[in-house]
Amino acid sequence: MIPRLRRFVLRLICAVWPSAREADLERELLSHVALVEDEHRLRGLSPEDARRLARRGVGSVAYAKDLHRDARSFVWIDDLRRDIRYAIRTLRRFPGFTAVVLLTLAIGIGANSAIFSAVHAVLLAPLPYPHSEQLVRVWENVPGIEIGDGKGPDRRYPAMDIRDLLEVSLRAHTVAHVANYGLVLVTATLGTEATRLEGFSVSGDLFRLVGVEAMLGRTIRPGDAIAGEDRVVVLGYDTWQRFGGGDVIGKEVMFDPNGGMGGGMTMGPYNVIGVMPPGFRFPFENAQFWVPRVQRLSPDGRAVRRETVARLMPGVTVEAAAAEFAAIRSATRGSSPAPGPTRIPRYELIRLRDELTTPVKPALLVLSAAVGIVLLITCVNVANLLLARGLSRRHELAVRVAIGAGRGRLVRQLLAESLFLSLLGGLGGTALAMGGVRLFRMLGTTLGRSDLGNTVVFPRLGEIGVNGTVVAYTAGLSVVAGVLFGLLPAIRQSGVSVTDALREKTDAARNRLKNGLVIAEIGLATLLLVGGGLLINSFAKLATTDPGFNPSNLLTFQVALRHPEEQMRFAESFVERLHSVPGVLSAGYARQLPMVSLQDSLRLTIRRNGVEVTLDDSPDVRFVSRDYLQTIGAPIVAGRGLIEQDGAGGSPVVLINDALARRDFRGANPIGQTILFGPTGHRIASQIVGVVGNIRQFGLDRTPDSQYFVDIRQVPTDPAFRMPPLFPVGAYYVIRSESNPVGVLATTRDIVRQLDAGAVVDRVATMEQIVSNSITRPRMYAVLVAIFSAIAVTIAAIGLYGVIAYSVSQRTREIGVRMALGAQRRDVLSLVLRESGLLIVVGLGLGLSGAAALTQYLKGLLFGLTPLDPSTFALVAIVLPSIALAASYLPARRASSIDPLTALRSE
Amino acid sequence: MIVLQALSTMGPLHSYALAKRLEQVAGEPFPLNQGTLYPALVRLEQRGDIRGGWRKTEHGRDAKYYAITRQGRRALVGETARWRRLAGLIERLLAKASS
Repeated sequence: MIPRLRRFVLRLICAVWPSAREADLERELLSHVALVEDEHRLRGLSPEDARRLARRGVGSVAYAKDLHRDARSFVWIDDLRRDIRYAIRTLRRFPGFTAVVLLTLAIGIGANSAIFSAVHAVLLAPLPYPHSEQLVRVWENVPGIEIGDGKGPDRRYPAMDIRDLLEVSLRAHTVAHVANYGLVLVTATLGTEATRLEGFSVSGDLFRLVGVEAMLGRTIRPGDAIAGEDRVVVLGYDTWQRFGGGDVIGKEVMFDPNGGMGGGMTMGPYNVIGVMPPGFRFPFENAQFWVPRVQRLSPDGRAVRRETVARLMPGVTVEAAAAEFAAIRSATRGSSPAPGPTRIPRYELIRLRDELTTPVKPALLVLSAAVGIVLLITCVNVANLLLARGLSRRHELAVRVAIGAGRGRLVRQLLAESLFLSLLGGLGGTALAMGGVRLFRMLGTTLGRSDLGNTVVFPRLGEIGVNGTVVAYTAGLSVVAGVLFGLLPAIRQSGVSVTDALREKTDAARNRLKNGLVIAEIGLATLLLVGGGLLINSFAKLATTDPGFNPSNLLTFQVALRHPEEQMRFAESFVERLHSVPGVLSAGYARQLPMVSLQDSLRLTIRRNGVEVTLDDSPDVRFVSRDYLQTIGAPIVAGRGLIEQDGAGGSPVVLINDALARRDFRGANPIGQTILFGPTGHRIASQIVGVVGNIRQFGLDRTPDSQYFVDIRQVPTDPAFRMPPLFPVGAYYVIRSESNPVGVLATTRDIVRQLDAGAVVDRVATMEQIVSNSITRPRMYAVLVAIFSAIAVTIAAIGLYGVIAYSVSQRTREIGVRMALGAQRRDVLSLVLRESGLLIVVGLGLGLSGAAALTQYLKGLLFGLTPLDPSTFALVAIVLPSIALAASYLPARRASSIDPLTALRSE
Repeated sequence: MIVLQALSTMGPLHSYALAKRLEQVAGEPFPLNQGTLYPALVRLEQRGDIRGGWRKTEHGRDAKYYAITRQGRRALVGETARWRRLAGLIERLLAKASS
């Protein structure tokens, strides 16, 4: 055993480092010959005869060397090394060709690498928590009878009643941990540093559920979620850095709601007990700190629901756990589930991984397909180029065949060359992929604010990177690509018969193959171009949709006050001061901005010609300051806007939007009519004084709903009126400036400080940023697919150029003859262009029909377009042939300027 | 095996001397040219059954001498026994076949 292993290792070493052994052998053989020579001389031969006899006697030194080499190392490794060295020499002989091939390979492989990084990080890699596949979110299906007055529909909550959670955590066997959490928005002050933070108040078991240790100090334990012990906080890594880093354990952080969402969290001083490692953001990206939450039941027995997650025991299915939850619930509540026809399970457990990734899976698959097509085009292109260049190597290959190289050996050598090319290309591709990943992350980054609704366009964006798995995938893909584009040319070229090559017969079949490949390239490029065109068109439509207001030069922000009850008083004096700031055209404030996901609807009754009609669906109500609508540039299409007099004492007025006017006041002039809102017994009768143009409040792709606007000063604060809270997340301020809105920010902060020393200006963004942020996803896909289509078209054009150029060089004599017989340059030009035109038309046709069949899969990503949008298809049908014709123009022109005499003489 | 036997009997030899010795022992012209000898030598050397070293001959030439190692001696014993067993078996079979 040992001797065999020893030999294997030594053979391996010799295979990789042959030089030392080679030199030793040389020396030994020379010594051998010398010894024989000596002996002959001893016997009396002359030195020359001795030497001659010795050499002859010893036999073929080269043969001995060969056998020695075969014995001392591995033959195939030696062959491989020789093939590679040969490949390098060959590639150096055609530097232009090599450069083009390497570049196209790098781009094709690199794009695939980058997309695979995303696919791997998002879909394949587990979440960065131990055994993350066990983590689930609990959804509860509550029948309508149990909600409110019992007459509403069934509801599905991504949350669980606390009482049931407590029971489950005691009794369940299918889950190891179960915990809940709630979003908290506060101002945190550590030392002198005050900042607004978003964090979570969590039940005691949450950190044990997640299973990640703190970087400094400790995490929250169940013992912390007890009244009196709960004034502790764990900071996120970025938060810790924001507070200056350093030794922070044991220091005190002061939490104030300041107009934010307390989320039931008790305000006051908290002790820092730990800091989490960088990148830890559970349950969502906006988690900046964690505090324990004592679970408190509602005094009147109502259900209190909070978002809940659980960790399954190993091997348990989600169905089994959900069933146990339901069983525990009915056991402890004593309620027997009605055995009705509705077999909706009470609980549904959804794995966190699926929840995160399912929304983007289709898009990622589309991107993967697109980039796969690009690679296919690249391989086809390189294969074609190899076939074309192969012609000039026919002599060399024929010679090799003549001296005895078997076909298999030739194929192996040519394949080695292709693999060498593709692996080099893959190396370049990896480098490109790193840049590509950075672009990807940049495109997918959002403002990351929880108030702007669906904040995460692409989950786990920070985890996407070119890691070991990606490099391995790239290497594997390079090998596959190398075989893909190398096999066909290798087989073709090695099938060279010696006589054929030396006689230079032309091969019609070879031409047909190359033409076929080019048609395939053009078809695939067309396909991609159509997809890209659709996405770009869709995005352009979206981006140019009129939002209903003017977002330019508009600064938006919030101010977190020390005494949030003063919010309105502060707002009024603040806005007044703002009006006198140079550069400020107008300022206002409101309960929520466009794109902010905060919505409240109130039942509305319209008094029309004395008849009261209650609207079925409650329109959206908006509380705004009197200058707000004017500041954001929402047009007043009828009547007037809000004025100074529409204050607390004045007669109640209201503005409605165009959608509401059209829908419920069909034809009749709404100005002057009265609407009533509020609960019975405490209704407010407001007069409609104006109609506002429709504002897209929730996204550029959603048609505006009915809305009405009430001046904030006229909103009754008496709880009997059951108005929604005035500023649940704080007021939003808007400032329209003459030019750059950020310029007034400094002055704004000064004014805030003057009015309230402890207030913090927060969530600063220009309206343009907010609007642009809302279309991040369509922009991302459009840009990516556009890049891929551009690459595809370029590569296809290069392919077409190559084929036409080769065809021209083959037909030089024919062209010479034609010109000698009287053909003009024009005629030659059209001859060549016609040939390329045929290829283009066939390729285009195939590509367009393929696109017509496949674009239906893009339906979910398109806005304002059908998947068979004629204008896009038409545009592609014009653009692609133009580019392709341009690519074939150069060789065509060269053909037309052939001197017939030289052509006829050259062959 | 033959190489090991020769080295074991004669002590360290260089490749030419080894070739001559093998021819001598075999009696008839032994079809052993450098083609067969050198690969065999390198195989044994890589296994560790023999060890090679450069030394000067009595005439002052540099030559690579091979010596059998302890492991080589063990291998020789094993190989010889195996060969004898095999030869014996074949003999018996042939005897059976002809009787």
